[in-house]
Amino acid sequence: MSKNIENAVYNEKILSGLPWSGVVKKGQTFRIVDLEGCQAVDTLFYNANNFDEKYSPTDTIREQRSIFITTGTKLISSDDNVMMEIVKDSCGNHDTLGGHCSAESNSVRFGLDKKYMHSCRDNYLTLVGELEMSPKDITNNINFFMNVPVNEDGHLAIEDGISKKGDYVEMVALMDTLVLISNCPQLNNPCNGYNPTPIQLIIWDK
Amino acid sequence: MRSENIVLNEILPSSVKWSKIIKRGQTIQLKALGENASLSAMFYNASNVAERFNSADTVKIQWNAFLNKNNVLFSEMGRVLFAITQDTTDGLFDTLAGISNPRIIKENFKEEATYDSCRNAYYKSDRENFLIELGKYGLGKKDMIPALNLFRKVDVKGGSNLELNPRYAKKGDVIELTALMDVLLILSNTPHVMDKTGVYNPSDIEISIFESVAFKDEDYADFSDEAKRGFQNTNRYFV
Repeated sequence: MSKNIENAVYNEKILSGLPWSGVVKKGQTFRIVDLEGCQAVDTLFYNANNFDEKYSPTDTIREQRSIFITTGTKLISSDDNVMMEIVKDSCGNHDTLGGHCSAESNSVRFGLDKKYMHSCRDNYLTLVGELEMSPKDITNNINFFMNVPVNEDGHLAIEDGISKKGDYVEMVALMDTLVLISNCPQLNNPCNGYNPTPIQLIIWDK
Repeated sequence: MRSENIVLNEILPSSVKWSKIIKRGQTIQLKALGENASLSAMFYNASNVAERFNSADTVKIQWNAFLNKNNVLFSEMGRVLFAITQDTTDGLFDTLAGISNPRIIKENFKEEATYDSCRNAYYKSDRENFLIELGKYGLGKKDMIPALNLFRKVDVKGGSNLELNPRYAKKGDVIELTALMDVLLILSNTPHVMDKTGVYNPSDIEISIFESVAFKDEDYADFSDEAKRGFQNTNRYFV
């Protein structure tokens, strides 16, 4: 079946700064669209039937021997299973190292007075609270469309985004997968061009 | 930042697991007793285990994927669990590659080394070691975090490729971690998850814990502004 907006089973615009959760069933295709470019989409994955099994950043990057997510990447779970496979990526690469912003890390990174700004961890804590998961389920997320180059000496910085308006990443679920997203509200660094913007989330059946 | 008085000294044999609460102000010294040292660590605020080592915040906040002396190990609460106060290995730390599981041990070390064939010399994986040791504190799979590996390093080549650095710690090399809060520390003394030498022989580690000392402002002089704000946040936690 060719995929177009008309035959999508889910198609929603998510405004900047908002949390989102949804289940992508085994065999379904999930697309995240960076509607205006240079947005950061903080994303976590869980076995929808057992939240103890979750996306594992270390297993994912070690098994593919690369720190970036792009076409062909298999997202590996903490129980050594493949959760999702990335099948299309018009952006190039996506960050696995930077994690998500929080009130507390903002206070350390940008000054103790930056504690009371909206953050991705607040979004994740809202979601795990609503879904009766545990804060312990939160781990180092993928940052789709976020640009974090790493030098040979290890130097690492969140730099200007390279995603263009309409860039998207698409993945197929190999298990029923709960997806948690924080459409990043960070205003203190260029992870989203200092201007958080909306994204589009689309799901197609197999 | 540390006393000379050792309050606990013991040997961590090859392949086994270990845990202890390191109290605020204490320093734990890990000494390689051979040429093949490799430890994995997971650690938590002992008073609130929902607060735990966060490798992403640690590398992001300090602008480097690699760790060295005078870096700190952050929790996701903007506080410091441990400061790296001594390191004679010149940066043999790894936050990227994670831990081994039974499948990986079988792939990396071809021969079957089960309890049935080898008794207590069987090839243990990090996953088993951590699950067993976490269970003793009422913790489990939810508490398995991206680990800190000590005495081995993983390079990022060409901007993206992960490769195990061939360098090992020398016999007698030490890493010292000073606890800024009471830290539940779990160690697994197993080969690095990317070790493909086929030889399962992690060196024994000598563990020494130095008695607690009060922190002074000058202790923080050699740390970054970000680390100093982490110390400030941590000190405020104890008011």
